[in-house]
Amino acid sequence: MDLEQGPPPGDGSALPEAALQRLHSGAGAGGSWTSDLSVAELSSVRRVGFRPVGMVVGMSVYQIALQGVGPSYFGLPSTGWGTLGTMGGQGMGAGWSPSGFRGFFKGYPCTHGMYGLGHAYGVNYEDLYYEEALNDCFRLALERLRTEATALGAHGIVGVRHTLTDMQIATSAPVIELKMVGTAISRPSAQPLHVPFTSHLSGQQFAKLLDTGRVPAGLVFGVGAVRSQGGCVGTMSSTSWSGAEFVQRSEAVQQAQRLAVDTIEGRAHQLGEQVVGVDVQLSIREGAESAMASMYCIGTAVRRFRDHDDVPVPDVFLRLSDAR
Amino acid sequence: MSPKAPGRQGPDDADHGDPPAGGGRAEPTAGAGPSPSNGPGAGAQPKAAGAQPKAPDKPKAPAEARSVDADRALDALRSRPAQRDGGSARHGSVSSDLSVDEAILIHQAGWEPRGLVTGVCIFRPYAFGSWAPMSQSTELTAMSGAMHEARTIATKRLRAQAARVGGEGVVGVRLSVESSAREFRFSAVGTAVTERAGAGRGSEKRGSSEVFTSDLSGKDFALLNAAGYRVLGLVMGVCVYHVARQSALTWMKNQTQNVELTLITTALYDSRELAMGRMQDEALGLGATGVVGVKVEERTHTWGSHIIEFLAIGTAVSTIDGKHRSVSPQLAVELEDLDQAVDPHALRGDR
Repeated sequence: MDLEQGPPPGDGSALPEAALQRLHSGAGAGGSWTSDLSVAELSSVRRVGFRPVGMVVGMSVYQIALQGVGPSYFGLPSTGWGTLGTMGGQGMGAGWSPSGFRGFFKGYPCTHGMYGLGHAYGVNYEDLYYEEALNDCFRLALERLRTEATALGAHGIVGVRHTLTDMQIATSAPVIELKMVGTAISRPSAQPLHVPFTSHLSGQQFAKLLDTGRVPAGLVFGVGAVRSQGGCVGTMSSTSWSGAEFVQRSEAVQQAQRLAVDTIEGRAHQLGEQVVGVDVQLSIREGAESAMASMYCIGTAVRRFRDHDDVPVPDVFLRLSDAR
Repeated sequence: MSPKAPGRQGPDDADHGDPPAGGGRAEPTAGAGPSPSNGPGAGAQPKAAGAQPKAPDKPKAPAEARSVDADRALDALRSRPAQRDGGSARHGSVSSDLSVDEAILIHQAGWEPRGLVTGVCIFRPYAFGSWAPMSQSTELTAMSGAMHEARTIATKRLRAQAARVGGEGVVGVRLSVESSAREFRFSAVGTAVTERAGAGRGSEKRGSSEVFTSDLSGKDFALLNAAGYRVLGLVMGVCVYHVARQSALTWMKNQTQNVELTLITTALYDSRELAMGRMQDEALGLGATGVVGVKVEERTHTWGSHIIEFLAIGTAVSTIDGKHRSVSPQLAVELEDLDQAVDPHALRGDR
């Protein structure tokens, strides 16, 4: 491997040598397994006929392209740009391409109907580069996680926890790190799957899911990012005497959420009928005249393998001890 | 790396052993029960069975029904998912932020999730009417109105989205607010649910076409249903109050005394009552029998210590047929001392 360059980028199946060594030394005949399952999770997983085979990790450090020549980048103040009556000063950023905007775009014409100093044409547009970056980073980490599990001969991975951190590396473009850690489980009597399933559900939840006739098919991820370049103050709606809604900004956030949920639902369609336990993270980065709203959500797609109407009705019980 | 040599499994199996189940029902491992009633798995099972001439394992462990489930589950994963049925116009699957427990309970209560929904409102209150003289305890009515209205807009959007995905209501709504110097960002996230077709509840069909919202968890929602109540919607009352500063003289006089600070007591008391009263009024307006899960929250946002927002929020409910149904729970005493119970998450070092 070229130490300067590292492994070729984007090769999701490439595991570091240390990982391969760890997996080979610990796994298989006579080897012991590691897991980060709690005792209760372990017994749940064993109860439904699986056993842990090892703890697996997948990660990726990813640089998000520095885009948007204009200062709208990451919500920095766009003074001097946003007021010129241009398209908000986002330059060749994000969804912009010579053929126009791809993805979501909505314009907010100056409410005074004017172009020129002091007036601005506001835009909300989907930041496709940002979305692609997160999607790619997620895909790489997940592929590595699955490769590790496959190396252990596992059927799936439960209890996957992910952390997405901003690495604050002193480069000009932002760098994120995505880590995923989980426990690979297998059913020794069964043939291997093409692709092991992944799930962020705990061992108990995994067991309950199987009991109710559903099986986790895979982790799914959705992200929506919408940049909002403020137009004239007039984009506020004066709906009441007590204040005004910043409609353009609200719509940007709403759209980011919509995009994220639509993506996760669309992707999960390949895997199963439902996505459970979706974890939602919303962030809004704001500058003086522009902002970026992004939402990412992660969940486990589940597939039904039998009708789950035949689940016994759970008992209702009253705890006599104090909960706290 | 190739999927793995099947041979490696042999010795591994030795220490495995399914929990020795009593039944002793021998199961063929691969094609476990390809019953035609199977959902997605059904189509694939012949393929799965055919494609895998299973190495003759050790004599099959007596498999429990659960272990059979495990095999069926894995078989289901070998196939492509079944196409969606049920006439849904959506092209994706249904997302929800319900936990597995909640999903099961909601299902048993006769409901099904329709999708994750959100509502947002970014609001900039006007300064006018949002200040008060330092010595005066008074409600900042404009601010109260703004805070209430913004939340209402956020939940309205939440309901609109829920209606779009065919939901009759939204459960597990989490309302949150972030504040900066000039604006408030209100957001609401929840899972849209609808009554399941064929859940046998036709007679109890909801009268209104309004989408309800509730901050109750899936568990509470199911329990509420079982107890014969219907959720009418989230109700809230807001009061933003300016608490007067004591005069310097009073402060001096009181320094050496044990004394109740009546000014502050009254102010806080008043504003709390106002918020709760407004919430009750909203509930009465909906024709509720009661409000459950009321929380009264105090926040100062970015206003400094003398301006406080009181928010009273709860779920308005009414009985379905005028009666409370008793759920007759079993009594259970936990032998575990909960204070000292092991928290698995703590062991795992997360959450």
